[in-house]
Amino acid sequence: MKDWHFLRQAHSLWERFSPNRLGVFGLVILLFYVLIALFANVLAIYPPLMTGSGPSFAGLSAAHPFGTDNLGRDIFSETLYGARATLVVSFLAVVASTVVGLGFGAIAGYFGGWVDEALMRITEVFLVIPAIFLALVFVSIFGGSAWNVVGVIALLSWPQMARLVRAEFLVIKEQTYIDAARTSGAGNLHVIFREILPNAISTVIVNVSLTQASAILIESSLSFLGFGDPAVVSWGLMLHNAQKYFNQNWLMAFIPGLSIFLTVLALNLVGEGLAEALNPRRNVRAASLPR
Amino acid sequence: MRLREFRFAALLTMRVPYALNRLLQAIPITLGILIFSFILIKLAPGDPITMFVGDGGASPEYVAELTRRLGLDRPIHEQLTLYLWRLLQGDLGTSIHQGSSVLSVIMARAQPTIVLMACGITSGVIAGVLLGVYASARPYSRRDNVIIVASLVLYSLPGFWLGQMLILVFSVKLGMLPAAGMSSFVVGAGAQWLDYATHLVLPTITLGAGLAAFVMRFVRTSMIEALGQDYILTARSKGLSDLVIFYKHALRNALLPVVTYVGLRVGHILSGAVVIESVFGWPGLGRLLIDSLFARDYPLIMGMFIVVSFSVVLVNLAVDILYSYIDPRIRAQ
Amino acid sequence: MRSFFVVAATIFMLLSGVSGANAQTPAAAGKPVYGGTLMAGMPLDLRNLNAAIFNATRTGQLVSVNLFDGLLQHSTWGDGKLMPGLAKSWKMSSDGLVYTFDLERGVTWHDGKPFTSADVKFGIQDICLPHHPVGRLNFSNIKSIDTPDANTVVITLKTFDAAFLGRLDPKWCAMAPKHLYEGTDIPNNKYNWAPVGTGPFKFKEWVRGSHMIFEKNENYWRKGSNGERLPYLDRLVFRVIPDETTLISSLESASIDYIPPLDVVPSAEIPRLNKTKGVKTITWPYANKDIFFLFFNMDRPVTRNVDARQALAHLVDTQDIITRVFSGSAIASSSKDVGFLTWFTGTNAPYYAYDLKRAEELLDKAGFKKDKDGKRFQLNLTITTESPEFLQIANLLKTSFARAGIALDIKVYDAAAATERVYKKLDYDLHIQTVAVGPDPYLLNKTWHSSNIGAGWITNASGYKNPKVDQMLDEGVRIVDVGNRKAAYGAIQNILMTDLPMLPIASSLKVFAFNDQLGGFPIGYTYRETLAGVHWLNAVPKGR
Repeated sequence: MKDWHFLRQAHSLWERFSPNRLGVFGLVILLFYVLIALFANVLAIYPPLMTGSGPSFAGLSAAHPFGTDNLGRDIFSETLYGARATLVVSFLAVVASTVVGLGFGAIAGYFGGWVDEALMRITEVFLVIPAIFLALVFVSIFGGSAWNVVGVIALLSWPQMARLVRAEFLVIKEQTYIDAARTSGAGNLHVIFREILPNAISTVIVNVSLTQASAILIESSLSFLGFGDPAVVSWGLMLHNAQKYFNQNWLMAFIPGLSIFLTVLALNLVGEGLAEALNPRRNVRAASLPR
Repeated sequence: MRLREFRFAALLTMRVPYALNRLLQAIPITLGILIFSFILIKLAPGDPITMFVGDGGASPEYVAELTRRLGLDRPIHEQLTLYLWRLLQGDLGTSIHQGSSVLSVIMARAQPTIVLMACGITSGVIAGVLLGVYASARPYSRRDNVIIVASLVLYSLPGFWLGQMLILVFSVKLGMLPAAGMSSFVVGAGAQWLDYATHLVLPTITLGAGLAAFVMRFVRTSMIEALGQDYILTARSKGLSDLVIFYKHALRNALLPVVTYVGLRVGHILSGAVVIESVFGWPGLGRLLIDSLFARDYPLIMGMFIVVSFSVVLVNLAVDILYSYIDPRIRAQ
Repeated sequence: MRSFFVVAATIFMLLSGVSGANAQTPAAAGKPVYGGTLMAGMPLDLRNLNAAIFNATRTGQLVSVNLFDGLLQHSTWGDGKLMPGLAKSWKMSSDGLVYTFDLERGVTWHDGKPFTSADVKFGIQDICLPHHPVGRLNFSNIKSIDTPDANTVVITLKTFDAAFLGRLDPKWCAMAPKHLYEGTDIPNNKYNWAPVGTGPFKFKEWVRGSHMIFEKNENYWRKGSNGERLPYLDRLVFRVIPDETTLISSLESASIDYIPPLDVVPSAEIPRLNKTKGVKTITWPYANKDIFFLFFNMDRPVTRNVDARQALAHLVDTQDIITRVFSGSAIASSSKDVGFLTWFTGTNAPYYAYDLKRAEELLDKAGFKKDKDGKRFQLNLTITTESPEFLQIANLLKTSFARAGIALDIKVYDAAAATERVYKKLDYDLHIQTVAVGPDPYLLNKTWHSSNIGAGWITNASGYKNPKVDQMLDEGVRIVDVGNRKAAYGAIQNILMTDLPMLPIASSLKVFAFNDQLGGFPIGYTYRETLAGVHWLNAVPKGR
């Protein structure tokens, strides 16, 4: 019974989403990259990070559709495997930041008062430190391994989610049906999870998509500056390598850069499309302020 | 008109206690940042002495002397309290490697970053506002859709990639614009201004592109909303000559949120500037940060944290007050 | 035509051996002119400028050497000879303990005051000895310094030191003015950041993170090889451009004129740059023989075993590394023809050619057999962020080790973290680092003498403890006869290549990249050469 209800909701969401051609376009691109990431080991010609698969800076050929890089790694295969790192790292970071952000925002928004004050102060500390400063210091100290990058991105992303959720909660909790629920004896936890949260979920979903876009940008910026994990193929790392070799094989920089761009674009389009679908006449100045 | 002014004044006086409140809140936040970053940096492996010495090693007496001179042999809580005490007196300490006071080092390197950010923000906002107004004039038309797609594309572009591509096209291939740095040391005042200008073009475009995209969307939505209001419809029906006045009215309403929004994003824009400085060899705070992290120059790293964070706190403060004025729902908190 | 000369010159230099006979490229076509500015681009800003008390990075050496001179210096072409500097000649007593230096006449500091023997005495005893990081190591052996007159300095040592004269090279003790440093707190003296020296250029301005400007020293004491006045240029501007791509494109678009050899120009770019109009490059072997070494941690279960170490050595495909990482611009440091000390000793040593079969045999013999999945063991390879080549070599090793069933886990740290981990705590399995073994092999002590285990940055990180080698290294510094000394170090080389605590791989050729309207390049192979001899050809270009 519940599943059917959920399917019906998903279906109606799709009905509202699909007319948005840009959103659908974004979804297609996203699915394309997800499939690439899933089936990289089938689609790729060579294993990841395999140097010497061909001469350095080889031209385009059937064996090397995008040529090779300075160590003879096949750019096509590397790009396919790079999708994995980029998508997985950003997704994990987004999950972590959403959970933490939801927690903070829900509690702060619902209880208000000094709880709200305290939680928001903590949030502000992280909002105030410019992202790149915090990220670089963290990665310099703890090393640039993939897990550390996930942690850093999560650390940078959760405050925005917390703020958004809190703002939603502030609005929703004033609604009359919430009062109704409370007077009929519902406990705090029930109200938070069963009454308010489902109504705030649309904003959260939109923000997840947009957060992932920014997570991918942060990860690739860190890798580009040389602070990422060198043992894992990622598009940012490929761009970092490519900096010196524009004149030897400009595809080394163009292809991964293009992939980052398309993935981020896709996520932004999907996020926008969802925002439209879930709440077509939302007030731009309130919670769903573009990031 | 008089009613508007009266309301504005009333709200302003109501905002003063709110403003003071926020200012007081800013202090523990800054303190929190300080202690947090102090601990973080001390956790880092390696120490400034090794970096100071360079390759070739050092005699043990030299290391001992330097450690003593830098005060690094005292226990951590002593180092922290000493630092905080000096800070209260306005002394940010001396950079281990550069020898001059931290504040002077930061101020010297801050100027190029501020110039870059100012140009980037200005050009981004102007471009965004113009495009937003243009798009909102005929919503959902073809040109509107083109502009929306363009803004989404610009917003999704990684800044460093855009910068590299611009350098590749305009500097390496076409030779029209310089590839790096702030100036080429030409002689003559007039030529110098032109030189600065040509050096600013590519970094400004790179930094402003993403911001323009945002601002454009924002302005467009605000304008469409404002133009759809009843009183405007009524006013329009009075005659076309009012169109200009109402555009100005709608635009004014749309601009204030833009300013507050940009203010909120200052920290984010600064992060973008740091990466772009790396691409264009811009002699600003970004490079300073990376160098001082590498060298474990504690006073300088801490100094940068404090100065930058405090600046962002101040900007956020100003913006919060303005923001609360616009949005009554948030104001109630 | 131009590229032909460069290639021919490179081959000529390579053929004449790593020690480089006096190999200069043919002179550029054109008449030298005085005047003009040289815009140099460098990828890092300096931290400090006083060469006397700060052990400079390579960038620092190339820049501050234009401001300071030393008493003497190592020959610019790296043939091991010593050239006069502020000391125009010197004599050593028969017991090797007393050195008498005759100073150049008429030398003045940049502020006009005369340079005298009192400056030398103060400089060595009161500036370099206490304040240079290795000052005590270099100069504690001095019993006394006497100055019988303003132009003579007599240094008496406690014990004979074959490498003593080399310690007076400007890298270890540049001359700084007594009248500005006496009685001050030397490390905090303001002249450390606005130096006054005797060099060909004077300090004018330093805007941190942006640029440095030096101006011509009108009264520079050194003359050119034909007796001409030096320097040619009026002004030097060093611009900080951190991004390499931007540096190269700045050179191509003539907004800078010169990129110093700071490992900025990737060797893959050299052929293309040679074809670019207005740009010229010269590649050359570094006289200090900085060689990429693979360190083995002698304290770990796998690498403590000498057969395992030799097996790993057989898995290093040096030629592949030279081709891919250095685009051919590197020289193998351990091969059939040459060992890493051959430039000094003249003899070769055991070497390990790439041989998968032999490697697997040795690994089996050492007891590290393959399991049912074909895997033997896993090692971590710790590298620093300083040179991009480290990561590239590591990636190539990862692939070639995998062929023998060895998994390599690459860990990257910045220099500060690596100093802790690798050089102090010895917490790693494998490490790649460049180590300088020239111009005098007494430098071997740093990385192979057991007293330097855990001593800090680039010291004995493999934990190699061989009492016999320790003794040979201690004695090697004291041998007076040059022939005997060569034989002694030849024997050391043999032992080190058999025990193999560290495997020498290759040393990269360095590159000067500059505007082809400039003459005077190459300036030298030791990173301590000034730009005094560099000049514009035929005419100073517009804007310079």
